[in-house]
Amino acid sequence: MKINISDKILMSVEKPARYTGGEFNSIAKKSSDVNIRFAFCFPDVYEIGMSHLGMKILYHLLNNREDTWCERVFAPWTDMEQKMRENNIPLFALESKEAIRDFDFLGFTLQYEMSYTNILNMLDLAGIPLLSSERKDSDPFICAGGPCACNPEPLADFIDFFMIGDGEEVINEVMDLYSNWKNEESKRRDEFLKRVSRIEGVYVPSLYKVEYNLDDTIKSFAPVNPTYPSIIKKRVVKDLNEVFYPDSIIVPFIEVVHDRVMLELFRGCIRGCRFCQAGYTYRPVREKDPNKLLKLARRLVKNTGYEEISLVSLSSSDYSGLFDLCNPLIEEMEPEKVSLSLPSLRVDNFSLDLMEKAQKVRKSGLTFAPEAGTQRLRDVINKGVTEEDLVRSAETAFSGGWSGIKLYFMLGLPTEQYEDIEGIAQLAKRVEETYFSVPKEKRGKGLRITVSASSLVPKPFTPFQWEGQNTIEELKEKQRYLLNQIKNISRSISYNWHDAELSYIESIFARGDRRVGKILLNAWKSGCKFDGWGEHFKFDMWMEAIQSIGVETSFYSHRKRDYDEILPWDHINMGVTKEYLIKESKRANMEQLTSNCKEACSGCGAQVFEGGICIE
Amino acid sequence: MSKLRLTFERTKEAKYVAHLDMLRMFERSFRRAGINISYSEGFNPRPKMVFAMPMSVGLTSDNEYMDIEMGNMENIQKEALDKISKQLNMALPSGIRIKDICLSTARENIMQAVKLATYQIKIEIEDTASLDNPQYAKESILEIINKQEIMVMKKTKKGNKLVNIRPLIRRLDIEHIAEGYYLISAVVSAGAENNLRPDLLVMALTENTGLNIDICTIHRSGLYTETEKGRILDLCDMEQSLWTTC
Repeated sequence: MKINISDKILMSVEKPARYTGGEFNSIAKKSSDVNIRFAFCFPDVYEIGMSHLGMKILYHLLNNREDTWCERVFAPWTDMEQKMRENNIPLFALESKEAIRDFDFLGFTLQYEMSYTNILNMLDLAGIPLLSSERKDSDPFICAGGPCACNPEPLADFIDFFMIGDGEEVINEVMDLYSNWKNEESKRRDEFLKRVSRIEGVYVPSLYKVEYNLDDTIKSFAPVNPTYPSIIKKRVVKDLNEVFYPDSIIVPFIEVVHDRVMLELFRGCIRGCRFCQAGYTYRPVREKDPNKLLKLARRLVKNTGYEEISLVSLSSSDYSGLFDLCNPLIEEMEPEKVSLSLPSLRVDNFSLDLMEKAQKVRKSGLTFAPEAGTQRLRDVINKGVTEEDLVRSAETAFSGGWSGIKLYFMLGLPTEQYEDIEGIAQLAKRVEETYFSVPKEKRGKGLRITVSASSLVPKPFTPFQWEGQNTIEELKEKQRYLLNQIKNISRSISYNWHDAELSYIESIFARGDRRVGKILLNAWKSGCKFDGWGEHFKFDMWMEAIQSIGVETSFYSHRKRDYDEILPWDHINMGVTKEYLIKESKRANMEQLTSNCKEACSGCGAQVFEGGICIE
Repeated sequence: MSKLRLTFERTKEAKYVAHLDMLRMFERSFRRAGINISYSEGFNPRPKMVFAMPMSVGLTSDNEYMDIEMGNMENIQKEALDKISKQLNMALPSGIRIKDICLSTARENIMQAVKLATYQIKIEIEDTASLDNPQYAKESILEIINKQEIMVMKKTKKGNKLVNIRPLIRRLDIEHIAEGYYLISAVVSAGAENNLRPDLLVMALTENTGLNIDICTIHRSGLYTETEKGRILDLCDMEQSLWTTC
């Protein structure tokens, strides 16, 4: 039944177009024409969710199936949530405006640990039991995927099944299985879950049990019955040229964060920066053919009318077809007044030239990410960038008329000393000096250098997965130290940093086991939601929730793990082996660099997928 | 330089789109339709596209107008205009529909041309006196309208200012449509010089009658220009006089 949301409600909330649907290219079907209703749920507001590429792909992929209607659901902002609760309006899907509790599936995408409370809040708003164990045959199946699904354990109590890795193929297999199951007479919930667990890449947490040691570490993890897979191997699309990619995407009425055509150049990254989860979990690198992308770009512009195309990847400069794609693209799109934006490019003459051609942008913002302040520490994290590289890039940029530079760093990296932090300020200073060394008539006016420092949150499937995170006090001390260093060194360098409390909570959910689900539930019960939005983050509530589970508060975040400890995500196989990560962890301690995938194979384990760069 | 003047309606979901988002939505729709409109020169080229009046969030409308420029339009035929209209309608989201396109030779900027607007405002009045006797609210409002002066506090960027809005109201009727609900039909000044926003009008009625009035919906049925001699004309068909002064 269609839920009618009155004008009175819509006119009383911020940005009502978040809740009305009806955007160009959104897909309307008749519910009587389909067999499967799928609610694609993004646990954040509309403007964030509508910027997400994975959702665009899966939305259109599912809607290409005649038997399925996939619709969108976002976390209502707090003003709308209040109105919905006051008026008993259950969470609904944007296309049909029907309550999602009557759907077959809710699929959550896990982009960020600090959106987990929103998942619980959305289930509650939908009127669906939060705990998987309490759901009845009439409830929808709650599934999840996305980058954070590589450690599914913190959400094991709430999610019926996870899909690990690339979603394009596995989701179709799940829908096919469901379609058959739905036509059967018995239609038992547990029966479906047992069957779906046999699809490669699918993990059904309720079919596994965990035992713990007295010191709270994991004693054993195993399927309740040996017929279920003991290791869940992530799904990989071997050839991205052959897999579905939408040629028409929804054009929102209101401005969203990434409001443009997105062209995915490749998946994975050759670099292997040791703090970066995506750099390991998306392996192997698989490129798309530039000619295919060019054709796709034309169709996407025609079907959306967007005025901008953005290249999407973890490191665009590493794309071997960059030149073949960009030159014709810029040329063709110019008369249409469509510009090209090139994020995550390493700055050199070639790329600046390209940027200048691509977009008549104001030469203001360029971003560099040295990540650490000294060469020693950059070697620890395998960031193959030297101070000279940075200075050369800055010089090129300033000579090209740019005047604003952002420098990204991380605090709390393993082996970090105060001299590394001092190095951050020194590096910023060198960038400043570089600006003044460029002749006045060449450089842009109004130098602005911004140093931005986040805090390391050690992530699963990285060589730092065993590391203890710095305590909140340590991080704050380092932030203060850096602030003083920068203040003393220059007035034209501004500095901003991340909330250390938030990084602490994030680390609990990044590397937590099943027991942290209780923290999540308690935090949500005491009102936590939209934790990633500064104004809603309630640290006191989180601390209370953490204490409620009776595990030492430092256990998940600050504790350094042994290599032989059973980690909560050890039953997930992301391709990269534990042996390789141990080796990389040791190399990090010895400050040794590891070559990137293009230079030489370092034997990470991703070859098992027989795709991309591993077989080229 | 001649322009094309488009008449369009706005209904359904599209009514929640704010002014700047409407501009962007049209720009993208033109590109989808394969219609090459002209862009400004310079660093940040903007499409040459002007709305007669901005539309506030929540407003539906039967007749909105916009001028666009696109190359040489001097000798464009009716068939070509129909084709543009058809292509554009296929590229527009539901809720926005082109009703008419005409060639405009007006020198004046369309925003300057707008002088009057007609509104239908659905309101809810919840106090007991009105619920007992629907005539009460109606009469209270008409009594205010019959005065020479209707003062209301107008919030501006510079602060609050007491203004008399009576000269801006050309005509106002009110009809009881259901228990507690009324429909105000008003002809008011609009445009760059003298503009009466419908929400300010309702606020003035609330303050001056003491009634507890809530706006349900605001609908704009038309925008008009007015000649020096007081002839009121349709913006898309300026030759034809619709009605003379009221």
